[in-house]
Amino acid sequence: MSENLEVGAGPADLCALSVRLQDAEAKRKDAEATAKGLKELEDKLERELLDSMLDAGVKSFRREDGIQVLRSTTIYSKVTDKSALVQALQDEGLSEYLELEPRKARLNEWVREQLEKGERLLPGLDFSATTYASFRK
Amino acid sequence: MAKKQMDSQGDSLLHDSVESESSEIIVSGPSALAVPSAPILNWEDPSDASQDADRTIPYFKLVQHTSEEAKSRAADVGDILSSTGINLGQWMVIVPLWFKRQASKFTDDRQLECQSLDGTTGSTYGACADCEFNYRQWGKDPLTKKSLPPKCSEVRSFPCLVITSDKVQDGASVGVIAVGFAKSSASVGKQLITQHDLTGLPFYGYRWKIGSKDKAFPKGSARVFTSEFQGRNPDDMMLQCQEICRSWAGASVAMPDHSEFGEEGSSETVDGEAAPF
Repeated sequence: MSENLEVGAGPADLCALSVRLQDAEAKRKDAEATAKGLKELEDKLERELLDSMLDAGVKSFRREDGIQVLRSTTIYSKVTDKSALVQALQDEGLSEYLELEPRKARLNEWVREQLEKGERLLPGLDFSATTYASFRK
Repeated sequence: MAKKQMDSQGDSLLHDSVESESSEIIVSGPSALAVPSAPILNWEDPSDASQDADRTIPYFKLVQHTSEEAKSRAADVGDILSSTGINLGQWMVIVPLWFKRQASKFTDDRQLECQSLDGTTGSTYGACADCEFNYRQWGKDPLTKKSLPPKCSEVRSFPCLVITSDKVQDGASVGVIAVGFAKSSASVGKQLITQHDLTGLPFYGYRWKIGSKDKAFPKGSARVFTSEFQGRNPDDMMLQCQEICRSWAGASVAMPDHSEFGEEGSSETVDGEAAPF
C-alpha cells in the first residue's frame, strides 16, 4: 500500500472523493455560520415582536395573508419547598400530583389552570414561563 | 361595583376584538377597563424633571450587602426602601398599575453609561434596536459556549400601589411608586407579565408579595427580588387602580435615573442568567 502520495498523484477516485469531502465540509461550515446568524436574528426579532405586542396590549392579530400571530406562553411549575408542597397537596386532596411519572407535566398544567383562574399557588410551589410567538393558518 | 358586573367586564376583556380591513386585533383588555398596558405618558429625562415633568414617580431600592444603608446600619440587608425615605421592611404586597420597559448599560466599574427611559432610545447610543449593545441581543461565549447576556440590561418597571408591608401597615401612605426588575430579578418582572398574559386582565387585576433572598454568584452573593402570587385584586380596588391609571394618562412623568440601580452593575453569566456583579 502506498502512502504520502503527492497531491494529484493518487488514484483519481480517492482524490475526487477527498475533494468532495472537503467541499461538503466547507459548505456545512458556511451553512452553520449562516444558520447561526439567522437564529440570532430570529431570536432578536421574536423578542421585538413579543415586546411590541405586549406594549400595544395585543395578544394576537391576523395578517392580510390570513396568518394569525399569537403571543403564546408555556408555564413550568417550580417546586421551591418539596416537603411543604407534599403536605399541601395531601391537605388539598391532590395527592395524585405526587405520582412520580406524570407529576411534572400535570403540575405544569395545574399551575397554568390556577394562574388562569387567578388563584394562588400552593405553598412550596412557584412558576416560570416562556413566551414565544406562534403562527396559525 | 357589584362583582357580577366586574366579572362580565372581565369576560368581555377576553373576547374584545377590533376589526379593520386588513387585520383582526384581539385586545387584551376589557372594554370597560380599556386601559392599555401603560397609560400614554410623556416620559421625561429625569435631569429635566424639576422643570418639565408634571409628576415624578419615586422608586424602590433593595438594600444589598454593599449598600451604604446596610453598612451604616440604617437599614437591614433585604429591606425595601423608597426614594422618599420610607423603609417598608423585608416584604411588601403590591398591585402593579402598569408596565414600562426601560434599559440601562453600565461600565465595568458600575458607572451609568447609557439609559433608555422608554426602552426605545438610549441617552448615549441612540436607537436601541440598532445598538450594538441591544438589550434583546444575547451572545455566546466562543470558549464555554454559554449564553452571554446583553451588555445592556432591560429593566421591567412597574409603577404600583403598596397594600401593606413588613413595616408599613397602610400602604396608601406610600402612593404610586415604581419597582424595577432587572438582571437577576428579571424573572419577577416576567411573572407579573405572564399573569397579565394568561388572563388578559390589567396588571392591577392581581396582587403580589415582593420580598428578597440571597443568591450566590461566583464573586459573592447578592440580594435579589422574589415574588409570591397573592391572587385577584378585589373589584373595588381594581376600579380605584383604573382611575389612577386614567388620571396619569397624558401626564409628563419623570422616572428615576438608572444610576440608582448601579449596584447591579456589570454582568457575567450564571446558567444563562445575568449576575449582578
